Amino acid sequence: MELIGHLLTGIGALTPMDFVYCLIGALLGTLIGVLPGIGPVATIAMLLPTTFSLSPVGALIMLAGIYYGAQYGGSTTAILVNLPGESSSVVTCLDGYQMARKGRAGAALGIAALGSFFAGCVATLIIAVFAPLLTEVTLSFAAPEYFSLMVLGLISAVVLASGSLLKAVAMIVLGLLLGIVGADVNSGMERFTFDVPELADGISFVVVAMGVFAFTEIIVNLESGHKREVLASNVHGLLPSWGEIKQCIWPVLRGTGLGSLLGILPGGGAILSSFAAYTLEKKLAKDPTRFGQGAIEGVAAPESANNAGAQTSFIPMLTLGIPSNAVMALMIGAMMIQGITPGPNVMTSRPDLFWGLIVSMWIGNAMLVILNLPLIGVWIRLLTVPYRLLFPAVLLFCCVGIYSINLSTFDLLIGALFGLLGYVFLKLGCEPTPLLLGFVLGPMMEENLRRAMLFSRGDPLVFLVRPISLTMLLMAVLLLVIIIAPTMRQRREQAFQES
Amino acid sequence: MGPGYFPVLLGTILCGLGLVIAFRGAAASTTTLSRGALRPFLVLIAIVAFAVLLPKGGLVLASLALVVISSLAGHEFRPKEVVITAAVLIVFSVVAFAWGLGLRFTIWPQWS
Repeated sequence: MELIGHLLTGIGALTPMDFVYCLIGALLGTLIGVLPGIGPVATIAMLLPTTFSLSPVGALIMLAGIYYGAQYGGSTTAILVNLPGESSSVVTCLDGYQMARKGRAGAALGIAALGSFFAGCVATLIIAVFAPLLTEVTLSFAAPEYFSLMVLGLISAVVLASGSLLKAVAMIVLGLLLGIVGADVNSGMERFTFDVPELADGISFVVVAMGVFAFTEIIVNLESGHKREVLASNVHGLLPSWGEIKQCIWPVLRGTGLGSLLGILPGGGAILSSFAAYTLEKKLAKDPTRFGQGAIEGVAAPESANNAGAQTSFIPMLTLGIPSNAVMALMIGAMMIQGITPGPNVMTSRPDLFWGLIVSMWIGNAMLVILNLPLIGVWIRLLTVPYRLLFPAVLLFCCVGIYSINLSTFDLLIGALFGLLGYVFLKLGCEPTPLLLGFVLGPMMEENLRRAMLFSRGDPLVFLVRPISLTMLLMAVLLLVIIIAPTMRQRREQAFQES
Repeated sequence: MGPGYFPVLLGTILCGLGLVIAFRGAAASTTTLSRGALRPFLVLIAIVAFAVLLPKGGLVLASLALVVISSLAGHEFRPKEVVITAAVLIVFSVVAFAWGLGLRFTIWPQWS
């Protein structure tokens, strides 16, 4: 019953304006979800500076809305255009587009929205139940535990990501290094600043995020230059038939379960969840050949999973202050802008923020399902806007956003540099997400490392003597060993190629 | 544990990783990197132009430069469309960012 009390705290914390922010975030999320080539990471980075003027609750609610809203929007594009509006709806293209070609676009869109809504509700409940438990455990953590936890978090983030493991670890280390550019907090000594005064405060997180995500994305999109074909005329009757709904009950439940579980893991979240759910359905199906031909389960399961995963990935961020993916890294950035240090203390020191955010997810999901079905016509119209008109707008908003953080044009130049770097990384097969995670954790990790070493008078064994810390380090090593073992490596590669 | 402790530690790890990646790369069969067109990089030039123009030239001029240069980076350049896009975006950013959110921008060029 404590839970109900907490949820009431959350509702009580929300002002009418917060509902408006929730709606704005959810709608904006859907909008950018629908548009291929603009992702939630770039959008949240773009809006981060404008959240200065909002209350902390309002800011987080709006940014969270963008993330889960994008999961709803992404499926629309996947089904109607056969292009993933978001990377988490890649697998939805497979069966969703086939359904649309058979004239069942409405049913596909309907089941995607309903499945997402169900998953969203369940995942929110999971956060509300598990986050406090996890917080309690972490309250006993001291510096060595935190350091080891961050090591474990970063390692598992790369293990679950696709691509070369070695490069991903190198990207984390590079991110950590970039994160500590500027004056050292303890001694005031400048590091990696090359006597450039603007670097003394460090590199702003928003600048890096926008550079390696938004700017690089635009360059890559312009390079490939995609064409779109919209199957808009086929949308009529948004409700799936009763038979289709019955067919989808188990896939939605399985997708929700799998997504919720994978979302909690560092490196998880929406993308991994949707892939895994699709693979699972295909394995369990009586007739797997139906998949890829317009099987409604192939839409229902991954769409439920990506929404569940998107939401449960808030758990490590809210309880431990550790980001599990790029969006969560940005949410941490948003909290810091508001002067809140993310970590287990947030729940006790700012219960209004914590529970307000959780309650808002419910409200946001409800808004999305109510608004999106009637608004689908509008979203379809939007898809006909060509990219050549969109990207200058995105670029301009990014630039205004970067400039407004510190009123510094130097930040813009750094942003452009990171855009170039991001492009080079992409060509070299180095993923930018580990870099960003490292960047966010860099200062925190150094702080905890130094504190732990100070506490043990320079003895590095402190990390191995404390049982919780040792366990976490061993888990990190184990993960690395498992993934390097040849059989597992092949399986991991297969898993990412499956779809 | 001075200010150099963590950077040196990380630097050493990064060097090690870099060496391993380099050796493995050298040993692996060569793959040619697909080199795209140079035009999309005009996007970066557009950002730099925006940064250079903003303090003295103001938001209007800087936005105009950004939209025009970045449009050149695309596959097709339709002058009429670009002018309209630029006009809409400039009005929007002045209204929304400078007035609405109260961000401190120089709006018009200051020649003094």
